[in-house]
Amino acid sequence: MKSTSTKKKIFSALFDKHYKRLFNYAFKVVNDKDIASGLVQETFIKLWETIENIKNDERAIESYLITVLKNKIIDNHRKNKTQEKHYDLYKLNAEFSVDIDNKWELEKKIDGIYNALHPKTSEIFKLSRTKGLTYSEIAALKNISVKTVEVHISKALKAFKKGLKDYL
Amino acid sequence: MKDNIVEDAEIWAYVSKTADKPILSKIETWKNASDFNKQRFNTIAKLYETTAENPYTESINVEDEKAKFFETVAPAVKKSNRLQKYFKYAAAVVLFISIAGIAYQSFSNNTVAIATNFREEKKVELPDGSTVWLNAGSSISYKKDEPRIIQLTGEAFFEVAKDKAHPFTVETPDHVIVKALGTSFNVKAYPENSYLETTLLTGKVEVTSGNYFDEKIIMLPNDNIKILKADGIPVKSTIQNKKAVLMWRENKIRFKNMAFRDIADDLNNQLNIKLVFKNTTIAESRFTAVFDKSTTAEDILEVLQDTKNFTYKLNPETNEWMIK
Repeated sequence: MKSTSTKKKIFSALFDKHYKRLFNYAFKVVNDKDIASGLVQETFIKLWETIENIKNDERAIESYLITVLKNKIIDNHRKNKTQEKHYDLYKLNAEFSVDIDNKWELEKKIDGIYNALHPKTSEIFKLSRTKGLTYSEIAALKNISVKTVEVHISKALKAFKKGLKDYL
Repeated sequence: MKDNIVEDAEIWAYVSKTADKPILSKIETWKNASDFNKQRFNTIAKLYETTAENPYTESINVEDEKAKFFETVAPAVKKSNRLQKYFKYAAAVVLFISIAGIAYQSFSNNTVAIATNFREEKKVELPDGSTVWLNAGSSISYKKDEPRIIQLTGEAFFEVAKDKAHPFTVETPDHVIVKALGTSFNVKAYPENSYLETTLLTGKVEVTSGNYFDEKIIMLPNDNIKILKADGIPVKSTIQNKKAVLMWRENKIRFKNMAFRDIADDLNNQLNIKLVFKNTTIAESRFTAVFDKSTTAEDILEVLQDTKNFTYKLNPETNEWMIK
């Protein structure tokens, strides 16, 4: 049994490392900020209760977190669905389960592509995608030419088209 | 860029709505010029959708979430200041006087015990400011110098006064311990029942058990933990209807998809109605029903008989109802 303060340190690092991605994933499926953050909280609580029984290995812990969260998302979904009285709950749950597996894969792929890009390209693409800046705004911000911005964007698009070809 | 060649970056500018006028009109005419163009356009449009980020990624604060988490799994013990303490003791004195009216003392002079009769429920204020509702055929006891350590037999609902320095604990005869900080929860632990059950309505509690399992279970609002005495494995589920859990406080007895055998235990515990099954199939069949606690045995059995096929007969000597 680890002491609480050691455990706290371990969990603090786990939060820094995994929280955002787990939250994004849950959010993509449940589409509600409070439900998503609640499910991620419960997932970490579950890990806190059982961490002594899990192999002390980063990948084992990561896959444990993903599996627990996935099950929590499915439980949450099932709970909502039983209230709706669907004609074929089993089928619906099975489809849902495949769908959320795909979402997780997609989430991982997108992360992977961002990481594989040159940091500058990744940064410029994010300014366009998430901040919605125009090419000339990005050019002014980064003190580069519009042409260079376009080159970075094209590179990023190429990588995404290749990496996500199964999803496009 | 040449007019007749379209770059991916231009299509991207168009779909991300950041394109200037010349690109805008260029893409407009280009995208419907051929099927090939249309397909290329759709790929980029889809890529735009797929890479959409969650709108809350920026607003969610990992440190806040971390703090919330630690507060749940490893709550900090805060020292209460002097003034608060003074008020707490002042309140304790007043409440001790008011409690004296309903409490009778047993075991030793140091222990306070409060019990309910069959078909009855009772609301009790504890010396620390917490409130307890006792269901029929139940009792609680505590030591005067430890008013936040409660022994419970039967069923009770607790609304715990906040005092982080002194956790509020409820212990059942089987040594299942529910420990709370500031919260409201229901514990059902009649010795005759085949299971123990606790439901958390607000706040957080921790459930441990010397007899049944080693781990500490942390409960969140609307969690229900049921422990079958036979195997001692705690099963966690989520309740859908808070009101139903506490219906017993309104002089009702409620069964939801419950085996007749377990219903019989509740009838015995709470209404002093004794059922004996002569047929195991009927003992396992399930019912959902709500009755007033004042309902007679005969009326209850008559209602249950509407949905399942069984007969009942009173043995006047033992005062037991035979179910076949």
